Amino acid sequence: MAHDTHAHDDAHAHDDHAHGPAKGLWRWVSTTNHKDIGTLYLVFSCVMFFVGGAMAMVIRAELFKPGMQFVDPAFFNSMTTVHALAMIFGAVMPAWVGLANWMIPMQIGAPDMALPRMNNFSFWLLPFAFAILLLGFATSSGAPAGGWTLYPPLVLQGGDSLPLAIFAIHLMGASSIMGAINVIVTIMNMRAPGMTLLRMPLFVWTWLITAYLLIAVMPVLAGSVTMLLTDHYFGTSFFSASGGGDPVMFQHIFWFFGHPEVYILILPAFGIVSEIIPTFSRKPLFGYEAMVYATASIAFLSFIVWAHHMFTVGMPLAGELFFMLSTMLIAIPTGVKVFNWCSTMWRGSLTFETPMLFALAFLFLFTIGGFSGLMLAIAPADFQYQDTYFVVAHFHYVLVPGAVFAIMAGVYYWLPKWTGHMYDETLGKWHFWLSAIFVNVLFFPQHFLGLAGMPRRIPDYATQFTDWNQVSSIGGFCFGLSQLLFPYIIWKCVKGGARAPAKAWEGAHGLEWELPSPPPYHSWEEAPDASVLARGAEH
Amino acid sequence: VTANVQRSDEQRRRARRNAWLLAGLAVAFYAAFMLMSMASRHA
Repeated sequence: MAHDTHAHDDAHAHDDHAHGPAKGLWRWVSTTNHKDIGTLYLVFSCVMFFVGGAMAMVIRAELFKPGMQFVDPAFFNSMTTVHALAMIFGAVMPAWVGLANWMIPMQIGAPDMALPRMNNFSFWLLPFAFAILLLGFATSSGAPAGGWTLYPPLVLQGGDSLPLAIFAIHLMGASSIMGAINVIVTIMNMRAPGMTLLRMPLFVWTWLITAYLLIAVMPVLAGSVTMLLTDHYFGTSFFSASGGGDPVMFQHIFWFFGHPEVYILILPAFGIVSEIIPTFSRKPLFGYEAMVYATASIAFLSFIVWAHHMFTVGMPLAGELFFMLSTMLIAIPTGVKVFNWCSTMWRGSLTFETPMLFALAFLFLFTIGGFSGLMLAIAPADFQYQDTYFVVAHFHYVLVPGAVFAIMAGVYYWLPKWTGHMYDETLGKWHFWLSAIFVNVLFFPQHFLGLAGMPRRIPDYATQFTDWNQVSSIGGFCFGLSQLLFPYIIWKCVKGGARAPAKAWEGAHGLEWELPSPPPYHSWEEAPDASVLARGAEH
Repeated sequence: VTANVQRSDEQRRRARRNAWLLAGLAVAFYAAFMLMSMASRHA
């Protein structure tokens, strides 16, 4: 395989056309390049974000008034179920893998991901997985409607879409595991000489820990849905009491996957925010090593808190106490992170470009989601909150202004690097302010609805819940509409705009900023030398 | 068109070995949870 060893200057991009990208559609089908695959993941994620978002709009339209308006209850339940699956497995996780593909090799001084062909395979499984999942809408029984948690025995009443959903989940799981293997092997084997573990950027660190979580828990999800499949079609009774099984066991297995899964969705967000806040504060990150250890602690604790999702199924008091206290322990490393971000900004020379605005909104709003999580962790109080809109408000605060805002912050932060152009800052600020205002109009009232007793996953409700549902729906429509700005801003930035220098942000540090903008198709074919590394690895 | 990803044969060997180890770990987790679930049935 031909390769050259040119220095990484601007001229390099002109020298290496002999092994640039293939042309046309085939480039994207056959590519093994980490930047191309990163782009594929991000585009796929954006599409799924709007597919899942459209389902959310159906939900909010139906809930605008009490009574049935637009859809029948079974379809409403399909909307909540597939919205969740599309957003978790289709939008947020692929966005993280896309960002990992683009950034990790550039940040650690590697020429590509360690296993480029597997990288291609793990992306191309995803469109097929989601095609199979969405095929459920074409079956006579409709798409899965038992909730994304797939609890038996309800889910086993789902009809022909159940095996489709299970096969789709298996494919997504295989894709995630391969992605995680690739990330770990890349980080452990491909770092440039001198890029020691404790010099790595926080985004790389958080992704390394996330990848281990993925390898540990995606097989558990695969196991639980395989058992559902054999219970339904092959006469086993893992979760059927009549055959000696136990439906609650499914909940234990599912949440042993499910709780680490929520950290899979949020740890890379911590990494991105830890890159952006120092850049726009023009100060090194406060407590770098503490951040690494806090991330590892959160990952460890995520394995011993799962039953806080199921306090009301009935468990011994000692179990409730254990899971309540272990859950509360997570507030300690998370608090370390929040205070470190605040300390990074303390007496910094702050500016508020779009990535920083999204990172700051993340800091405030994710913390609100964290606090409502602490409220839910209190077992006796959870008996009141369980299965109400309070839970919906909580996890949307951690996932939308949490994970999604961090993804957007990361995209705005690195867009100048990827495209070689600055994005439209005015439009970026419009996107931020509309999102930040309406996400609160959308989700904050759901706390009130939940505390007042409105259950989740219902298409109709008692009339006393009308007002806050209307406020929430208006917030939802406006939030949804304002997201259309995001692909437009990206498209505009790809097409043109002010030229971005190699180091697009004055306060940025990291090896990616030592490459030209846009970086050559193959970057770091020669490892960065010690002086470049010292400049890039400063934190 | 694949980049010259690995810097040496030794690195390539190590990458493959680590990848297979991690894949084995994933399969082991899958098997462990299936076996534990089978063992926990009461009948």
